[in-house]
Amino acid sequence: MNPRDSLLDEALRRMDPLAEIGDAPGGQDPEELLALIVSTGPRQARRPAPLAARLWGPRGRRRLLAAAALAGILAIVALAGKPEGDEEGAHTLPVLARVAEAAAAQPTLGEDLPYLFLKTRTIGVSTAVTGGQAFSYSAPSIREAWIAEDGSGLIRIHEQPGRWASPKDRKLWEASGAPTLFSAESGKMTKVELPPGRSPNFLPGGTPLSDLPLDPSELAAWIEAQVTDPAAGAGAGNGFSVAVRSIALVSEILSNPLASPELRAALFEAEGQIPGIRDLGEVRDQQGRRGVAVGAESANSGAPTVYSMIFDPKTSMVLASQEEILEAPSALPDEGYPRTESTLYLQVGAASSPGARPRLWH
Amino acid sequence: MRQRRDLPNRADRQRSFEALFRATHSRVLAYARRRAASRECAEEVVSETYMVAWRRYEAVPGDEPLPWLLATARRVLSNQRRGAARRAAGQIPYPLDGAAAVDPSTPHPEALAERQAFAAAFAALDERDRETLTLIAWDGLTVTEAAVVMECTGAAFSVRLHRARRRLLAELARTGHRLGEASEPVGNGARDERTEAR
Repeated sequence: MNPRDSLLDEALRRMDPLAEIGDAPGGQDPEELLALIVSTGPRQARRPAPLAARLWGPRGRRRLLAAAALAGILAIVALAGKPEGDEEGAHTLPVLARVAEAAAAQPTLGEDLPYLFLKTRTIGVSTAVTGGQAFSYSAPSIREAWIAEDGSGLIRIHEQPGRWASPKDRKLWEASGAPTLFSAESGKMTKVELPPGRSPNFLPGGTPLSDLPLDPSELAAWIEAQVTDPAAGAGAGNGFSVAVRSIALVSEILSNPLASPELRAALFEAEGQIPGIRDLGEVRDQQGRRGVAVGAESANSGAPTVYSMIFDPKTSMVLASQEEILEAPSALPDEGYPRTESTLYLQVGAASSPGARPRLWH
Repeated sequence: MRQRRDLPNRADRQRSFEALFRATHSRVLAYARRRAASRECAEEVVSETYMVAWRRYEAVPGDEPLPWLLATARRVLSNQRRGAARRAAGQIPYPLDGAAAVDPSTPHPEALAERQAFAAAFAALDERDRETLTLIAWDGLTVTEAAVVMECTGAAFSVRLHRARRRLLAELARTGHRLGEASEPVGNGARDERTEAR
């Protein structure tokens, strides 16, 4: 951060209203609030009446009005949130219909090998902005996960050596005082042991995988509903098109260890029916593997970007989910700026225990 | 749309949620208090935020829950403001809408003038620019975390941050002020200056 930006931030911090408000006594007791919240069933109605009554107290009417306003706003967001790039009319992409056949033949987890193994490599671009300039670097990481049906398992993340986007980026970094960036993380290994509990059987919105329809048309309708319903937590209202949001959702489900071959097959066919999804043809991912890609374009993040999913048409295995910036934002260096970020799916298989060598499926 | 089912292990879920709540409550409350019209309103925002988190606990990222919670609080706050605007003729002010009215008892008249000018310039920015700047300066988030709150990519947030700072400086210059002109020293802020975008 350059001195001018530091001054700006310091001046802003001096205006922090919390510093002037202070911690006046008599506020809500956090432990009491926590006890009230967890005393309700996690799947109860959105505003459980007993809790609402206790929390709202004498201001109940005002809060009811606010709730009505909230519902109205959510409805408006759901309707008006129809973002850029959405097209009318469903169609099926033949390439995804073919992949669906391969997906139906996928193996599943068994009693002797109860842990799904997934190895991914994430290649991201980090950018620091200083004084009207920016320097960019790439700091990839490799993630290995062994996850069983009950959610237990192990995740290992290995930070890889970073590198500058260009020699110019390194010079800008040095000129800014050489703040610690990826070098501190390089080579670091993080292990996370997962206790049973947050089962991968459930999608982020709480829907069990087993509840998803296997009919491609029904599943396509479900996907569209998820990405257009703000309450579903699948990105509705974030400005991206239905097509882009559906890629994120479908990629996530396809990488779920417990997605059945039938569900995976249906997902490919369903994604082919989402308006705006295009067949991008044969491509190579950042690992150099040949595959076919489907995707959609959006400028919602500030620069025209193609969001795509690359997969092996023979096995249906997802090879990568990828973002490629077509035109660098004006504040970032145009020359040498890394334009592609991706998550590469390197290996998938099953293992007998967390950390054990997996039997690969492909 | 199907009904969601209860998770089988309610006790684990509750323990996990309680740990999440205790680890993040003060940050979420601070975020809300900086932006809500009153402490009471801030507490409403916090209650609503954690009710959403409890209902949809599977959606809360296990590794970095704070940005998700702040994004939820931001939406609740926004709805609260809009609802209030419909019910009353006036809108609940963003706290810094009146920030130009600083404490006149300051012993440094030059510093007061600068604060007033800076606050006026800040108040002239639109809500998105103000939120972009304050997520970093007040809430102490990294660019990556703030991007989650603003529901954009890290690269897009970096660009927004850069442009918001530029617009703030331009506003300041428009009123004939420059940053750091006060007699009182401004900023020896030796914070972590890392602005990782993604």
